[in-house]
Amino acid sequence: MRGLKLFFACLLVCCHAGATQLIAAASDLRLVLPVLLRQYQAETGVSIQPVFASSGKLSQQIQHGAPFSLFLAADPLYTNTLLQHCSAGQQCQTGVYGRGQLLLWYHSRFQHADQALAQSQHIAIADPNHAPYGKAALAYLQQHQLWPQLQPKIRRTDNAALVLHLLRTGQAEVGIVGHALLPESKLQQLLPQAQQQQLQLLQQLGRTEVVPAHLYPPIRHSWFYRADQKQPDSSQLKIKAFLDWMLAPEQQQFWSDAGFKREHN
Amino acid sequence: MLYPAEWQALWLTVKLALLSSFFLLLLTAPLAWWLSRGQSTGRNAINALLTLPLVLPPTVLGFYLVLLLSPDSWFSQLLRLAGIEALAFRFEGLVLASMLYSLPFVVQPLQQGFAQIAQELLDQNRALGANSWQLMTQLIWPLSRPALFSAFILSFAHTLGEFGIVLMIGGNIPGQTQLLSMLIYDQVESLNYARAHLLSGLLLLFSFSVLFWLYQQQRGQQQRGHK
Repeated sequence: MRGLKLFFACLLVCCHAGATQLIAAASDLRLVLPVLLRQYQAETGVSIQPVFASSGKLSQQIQHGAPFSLFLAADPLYTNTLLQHCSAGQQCQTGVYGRGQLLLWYHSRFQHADQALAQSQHIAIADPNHAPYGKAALAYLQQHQLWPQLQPKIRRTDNAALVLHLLRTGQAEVGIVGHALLPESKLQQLLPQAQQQQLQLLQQLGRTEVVPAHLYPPIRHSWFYRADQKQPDSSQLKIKAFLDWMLAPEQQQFWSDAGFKREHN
Repeated sequence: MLYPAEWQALWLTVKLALLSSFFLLLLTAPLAWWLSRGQSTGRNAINALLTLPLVLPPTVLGFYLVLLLSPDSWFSQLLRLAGIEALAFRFEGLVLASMLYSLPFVVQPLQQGFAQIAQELLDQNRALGANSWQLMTQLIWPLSRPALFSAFILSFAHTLGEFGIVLMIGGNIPGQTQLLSMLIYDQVESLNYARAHLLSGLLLLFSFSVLFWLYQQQRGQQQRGHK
């Protein structure tokens, strides 16, 4: 009984974390965005907490009242929809900040990508219905000459990040992911140790190839920002400051290491 | 051992399980009592309605709750008139969703417990001069305590393991609606398998400890009742 009381007391004391600002971000940013946010915190002292899900799901959540001032989506379709639904008392802005790339990962027992696609048991992609990387991956596979053979092998995950999980656990031998989920080694070194180890294991297990950009529709990453029209609150102002910092030319190298091509509105 | 975000998720999980179980007991006990006092078409219809969360996939309830709790819904507008903000993506919304989802886990054991209190016993005591308050405190309450306890245990345990519906209603917001089950899912997505293992083990151990403690308490109560 005393142990249980002590446990609850500990919970009450430990669960009060400092004030943080929340942003919503597409799942392909799951590994790299926390690195950028740590850099931002080191420079400014402002802590920003990301919430990840597929762009489609986050867009739905924001439309139904989720409290995010900034949404980093992987398709302007979602940010433009939010812009159209901007309520009367708010100011909303949107823009495009980069173009994502698709990577094809396949198990090293295959000699090349086409063999992997033809002979693998399962191909993992994010759900095209609400994940832009899944939509692009599906478009790439559909134009492939082996499409009728590939179609039954597709395994859909809830979002882009879960494709890595299927590959890492051997549930699929081929997967199509965003480059940001398998970033350049310079950026990988900044990830937490556990993630670095998992990515290294994936690299040992298989090979990656960049999917030529003309084989799938462009994956344009966009942002959506909203604030109170009359007087944005301090949290909204902090988020806006982060957005400006994130889009500044000084951060271009980071986005490039994360596999993004430069894109302008 | 645990990071602040993990403590927060654990605390929110426990708080949600405690609050939703407590409010459910409070609100459904009179209804369960009425349902236990006979058979009729109306009672059967209400029973069927209350059992629906057991049969329906969480997505059905989650979908309608998202619509109901979103800021533009008639329900949220009613709440706004009462000075309450829309409940979607807030902890209060999670409590409401958990209560609805755990309804059958509370109502059914309560109903069964209440049904064992014979009407004749109540009538005899009333004939001997006991008023409603005395019947409630000196007869119904002691006889129903094991059923109340079972209902609480079931609701608490069910809420600890919730995932789908709370994800739809709460949106996995750290410090506000992110429960331990969601944090584990987050860690798996981030390839942080060591943390996912640790948190899963913790949830397993915590759930077992709480349930074991509650069952021990229940046994103690039953033994005291027999003496």
